[in-house]
Amino acid sequence: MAVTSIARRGDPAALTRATHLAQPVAMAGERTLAVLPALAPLFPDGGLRRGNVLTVGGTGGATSLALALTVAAAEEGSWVAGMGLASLGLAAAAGLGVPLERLVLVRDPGSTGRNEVLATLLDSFDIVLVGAGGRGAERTTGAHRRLQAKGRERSSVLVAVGGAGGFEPDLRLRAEAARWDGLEPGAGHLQGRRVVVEASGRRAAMRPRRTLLWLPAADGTVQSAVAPVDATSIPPAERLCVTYPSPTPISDTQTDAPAAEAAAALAG
Amino acid sequence: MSRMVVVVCPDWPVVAAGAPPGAPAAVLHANRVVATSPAARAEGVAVGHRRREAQRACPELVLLVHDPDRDARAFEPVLQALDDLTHRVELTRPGRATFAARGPTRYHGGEAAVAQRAAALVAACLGDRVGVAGPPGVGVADGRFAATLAAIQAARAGAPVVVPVGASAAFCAPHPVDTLADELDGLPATGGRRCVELLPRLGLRTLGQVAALPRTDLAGRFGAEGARAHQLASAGDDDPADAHPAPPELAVHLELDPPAEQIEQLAFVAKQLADRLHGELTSRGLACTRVVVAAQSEHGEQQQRAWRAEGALTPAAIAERTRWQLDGWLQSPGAPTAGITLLRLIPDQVVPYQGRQLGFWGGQTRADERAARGMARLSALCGADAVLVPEWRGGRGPDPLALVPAEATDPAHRPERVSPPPGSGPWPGRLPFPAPAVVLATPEPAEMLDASGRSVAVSGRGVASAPPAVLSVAGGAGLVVVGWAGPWLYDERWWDPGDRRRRARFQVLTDDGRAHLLALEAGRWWREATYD
Repeated sequence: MAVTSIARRGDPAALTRATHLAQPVAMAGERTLAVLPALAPLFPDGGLRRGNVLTVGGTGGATSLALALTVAAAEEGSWVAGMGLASLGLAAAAGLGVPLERLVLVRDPGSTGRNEVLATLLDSFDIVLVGAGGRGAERTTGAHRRLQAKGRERSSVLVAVGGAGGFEPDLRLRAEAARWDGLEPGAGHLQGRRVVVEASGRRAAMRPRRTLLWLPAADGTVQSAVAPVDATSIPPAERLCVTYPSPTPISDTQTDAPAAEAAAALAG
Repeated sequence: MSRMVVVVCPDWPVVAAGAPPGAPAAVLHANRVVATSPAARAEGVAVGHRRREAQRACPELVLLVHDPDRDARAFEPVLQALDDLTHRVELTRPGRATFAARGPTRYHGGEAAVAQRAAALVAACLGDRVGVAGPPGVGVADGRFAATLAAIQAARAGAPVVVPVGASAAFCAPHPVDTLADELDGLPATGGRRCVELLPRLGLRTLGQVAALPRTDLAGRFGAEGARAHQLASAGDDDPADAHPAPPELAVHLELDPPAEQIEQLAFVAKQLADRLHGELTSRGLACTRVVVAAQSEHGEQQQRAWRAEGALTPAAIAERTRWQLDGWLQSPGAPTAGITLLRLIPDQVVPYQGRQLGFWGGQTRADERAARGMARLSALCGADAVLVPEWRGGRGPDPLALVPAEATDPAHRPERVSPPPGSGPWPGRLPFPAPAVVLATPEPAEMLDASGRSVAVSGRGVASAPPAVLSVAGGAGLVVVGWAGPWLYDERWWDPGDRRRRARFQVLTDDGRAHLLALEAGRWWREATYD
């Protein structure tokens, strides 16, 4: 084949190109970045799909949720960059589990250089967080589409925090209905917050998924607040009884579990 | 092993930057000190200090900017002075020159005479700049490393040091292990500097102790760097074990027509040539550790220098050294009278090319390299101050970590810098975990009112005047307070009447589910952070 003739010519760069051509297609596992087990129910692929654009919003902790998305991938070696996150709480990031030695923050350069900086970030970092900073309702322009295409090409994940900022997201995450624990009138201190996170989006994520999270828990990390369903210990009436201000109840992730258990019991 | 003469001009970056003689001066790069003058060292400024630490140690410190081009340019007259003694001067970096002792010894009758002559020539060239960092030191010994140590000792002593034949190992023995740091720095593997840092902790403090160990033990523990460290410490062979002379057909040259007179043209040409040389070498599986750069002008004036590095020279390094050499030549008193027509790069000594191995366990991964390149590009795009990384500071505020420019940190040390150093204090009285996710750099004004509409105050004993009921941030709508905790009292710098700050912090939960961190100072409320 052409490979042998290239080898004879002795040009290392051409040989590298040939090996890329001859490589098998990338496996599915390489196309997603890991996420924390507590967040996995929100993603149709079980992780952050490379090349995707996400938006994180809501009143229940958008910044914490965006940071939580990066924890598992960064622990495995991916680098995380943030632009326009001037007031990011680094101790909170460390508490959630983000390895700070792989976090780089870039000052927002203003409207003039922002696209170039974002393009460079998408080139070099696996996960790029962009703070909306008042541009949440911006119109989608050609520049946004080009940046999204670049992210897809370079297999980087773009996360817009606090507003879409003109990007067309593949997945929208909203954290709502936050309830803090630990605060009594004039005593105690904020210890943990439970939020309902809803994920909706395009294609495979069309059907909204919801889960209940501790964001953060008392030790600062992200935990799932959905108690594992144990058919024997808790009486049935109280098992799935959780109250929120929002009218829509918890769906899929909780009702599926007993059905799966029943199916397993039948099979085994 | 041949006898080498090494001439060292101590603290050359300080001298080249033009510091006034006798004054404490330091050269800074990316906010860190890279070179100091003896007066500055006497005041306590050391290499590696941050700018503020250095200024705290010595307030009248003269601060100079790091410029390797200027260092190389300023060293060229010194090299031209040494041309009187020998034609094959070898450089590793500006400030140090090496040449073989055999030829000049025969001509001048004795190594001591050669050393004296070299010292006199260089001192005459430096003139009154000798007062900045001391006189140059000349050392003669078996091998480059021992001669360098001898030269450094000579610079301190003020007279040339000649180590007798065969006594180099004994001469090196009492020197401390960190003299190896410079030599091992250029090695391609990740452990070069780490080896040197680890040896004292293992109990090996002098080169004699390192040389006394079996070579295989050091090689087994540290790999190639350990073997090289043993080789240098026992004043063994100068060159790496797998080095050999290059085949002569690998030299590359370029004829310039019309002749180039501007350094920018020459720099561009140098880069092309260096890339071509690198291509030729890697296609044969080689990399060069010593390269001779020769230039010839239209009127026939020639200049030739040998450059050497401990590890393999990258094309960027070769191009940089070519540029330094030509820039120095064009600006020195012996400058060519016409443009440069011929530029040649001749690899002198080559080693097998190991490529750049990506680390398997730890070390540098592809993601690390990609990120490092990205950070360099961003620094160039937005300025070094715009690319920031976290660093631990400590304190009782909402965020004990701060952001520092990425260029000022050493990537190898970043994991230690982001966590509290061992033995650091528990900071009693600091805000409890978990920390807020949004911490404002400048707090926003806020209003906290109790049920009767009066602003909530905190008494001297730390008791809130009334439970807060309504919170309005930055003049926005008033939000109902559904939970609150505090106050956490802070009385900072109470001993300094000008700097004293008394604050009370509260955690407040409003009915939209958001929690904020508010501070009361001098009767006014501020929003410091939000638990977003």
